[in-house]
Amino acid sequence: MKRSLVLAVAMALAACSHARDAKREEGDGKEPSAAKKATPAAQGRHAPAADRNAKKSDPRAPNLEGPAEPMTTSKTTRKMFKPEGLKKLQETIASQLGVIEKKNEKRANEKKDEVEKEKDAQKVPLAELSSVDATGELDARTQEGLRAFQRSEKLPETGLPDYETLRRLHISPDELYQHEPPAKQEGVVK
Amino acid sequence: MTASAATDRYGIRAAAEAAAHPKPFYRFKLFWVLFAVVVLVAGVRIAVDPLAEHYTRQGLDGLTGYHGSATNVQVSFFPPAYTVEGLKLQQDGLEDAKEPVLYVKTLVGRLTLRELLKFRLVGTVTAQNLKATIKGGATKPPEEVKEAGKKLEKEVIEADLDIGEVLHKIIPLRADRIEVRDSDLLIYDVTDPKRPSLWVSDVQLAIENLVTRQQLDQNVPLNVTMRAVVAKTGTLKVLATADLLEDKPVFSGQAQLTGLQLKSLWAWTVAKAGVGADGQVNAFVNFNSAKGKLSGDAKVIVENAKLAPAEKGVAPKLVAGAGNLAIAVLSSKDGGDKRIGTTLPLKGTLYKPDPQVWPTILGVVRNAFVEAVDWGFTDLPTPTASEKQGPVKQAVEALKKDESGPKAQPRGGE
Repeated sequence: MKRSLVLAVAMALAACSHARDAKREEGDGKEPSAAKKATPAAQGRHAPAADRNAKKSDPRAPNLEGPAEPMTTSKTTRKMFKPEGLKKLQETIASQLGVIEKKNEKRANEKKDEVEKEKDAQKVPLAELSSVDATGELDARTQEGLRAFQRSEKLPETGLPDYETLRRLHISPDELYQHEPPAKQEGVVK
Repeated sequence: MTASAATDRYGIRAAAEAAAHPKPFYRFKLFWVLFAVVVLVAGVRIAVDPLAEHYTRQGLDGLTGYHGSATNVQVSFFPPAYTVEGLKLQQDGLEDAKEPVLYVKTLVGRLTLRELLKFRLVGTVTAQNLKATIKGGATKPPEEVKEAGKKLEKEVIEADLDIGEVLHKIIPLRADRIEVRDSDLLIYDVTDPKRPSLWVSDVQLAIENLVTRQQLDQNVPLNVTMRAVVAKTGTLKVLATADLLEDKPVFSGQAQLTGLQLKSLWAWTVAKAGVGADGQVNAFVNFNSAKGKLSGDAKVIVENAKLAPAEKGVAPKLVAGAGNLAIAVLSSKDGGDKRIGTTLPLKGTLYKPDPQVWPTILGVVRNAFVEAVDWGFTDLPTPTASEKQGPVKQAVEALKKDESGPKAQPRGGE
């Protein structure tokens, strides 16, 4: 009798502590820790898309919804590009997102020496990218898509459209870039 | 005619004999030709790596003010490439320095096949895991450190490293594209006895179309794209295009530094200003140049800035206190964040840029009391006034809410 009473009290205390921890994490704006969550696999179902993404999310990755890291463009910089070329670039990246992700997963598992491992750890992680819209602007999603592609191709990960990146996406550089720098246009340099 | 004579006449007997006793392979000319080709190829293959190593060593020995070494040099034919591994450059007389001036784990020069068919040695140079030390210095060191700085200034003058010369001496091709991956730069001020340093890590850079467009039949300008992390916290991005065919360089571009935490620059701010700083800096620079004229803007936004005295004593406390008071007065509130922001218009010539003081000061005041400065490049470039205005007129216009803010002033007489 005594034993079962002690067991019941211990279980009640454990339940209270669990509830308090979950509440505190909610208050901090954190997700309840993975270990404490019942996994979808344990519940006998496949992980939904949101959960799959949650696994990959890294707090160091750029936030594509806010004005955090990706470059915005000035009025003159926008004149460097042909909007239809940017749309083509965005459509091309959007169509290759799956392939890029697979290539990057493969690259992450490649054999590397100590220096390369250290460099990889220093890199800003890639943001989750489910789609790239054809906006005709060099927006955050396009830049992050470019960075993911550049990582998969072992090109400099600038997130900006250099000519070699464009060639590997089968886009001719003159489809995207204007023939001359905007400074040559009337009224840009006063 | 006997049967055997008839056989000889048509060479059948000779053929039968030849079939019965075939010629040894070494009596065929083709065998010797093939053998010679194989020996030649093997000889070239064996000799080319030591030759390349010799060429690289000779190039490194020919540098002025520096000496260098490489752990391995390799040449491959398919694809045509020249690889230098473990390249290290050190400044003469500074052998005991902890860091070499330049270290590149892998430096590869790849020839462009299309250009090779036109007998032009043009290609791409890729540097991976590069570490460079850039020595800079204040042009006017403070009086008390002048003596200590003199010796170190010599180091800076002697450290004028020409990367182009190094590349040309060790990789025998004209670089049309230079790319740098996963690299680091260490910038430090050798004229300051405290030697404050600044780390720029994860440098990713691509410069393209370096060889003239006319030669390469390209229809696009020279292009520069760069991304790096400054002091572990700030992200630097640069995008620029240029046309170097003109008499005076024509270029357009922008640079953006976001999320730089001032705490990560603590040693630098202490050495330069005597106070430590906390907060976040975002900077946006927009630049254009044509016909020798320069036009641009630099917008700086500092969020939640706070100064702290770096040393004990009344003077540092006073400096930090005055700074914090100015920050409190000049900050605007954006949500919970306190922001100081302004735009500095740049006009003038390429070699003598003229930063405009009045629009910059008025920009700070407008941000504090009229309207907060926008984040990003959305309002750049700053509009230029149709005619030159005096400080009073500039102030009146800049502090009106319905105006777009302080205007850049046109340069008189140009």
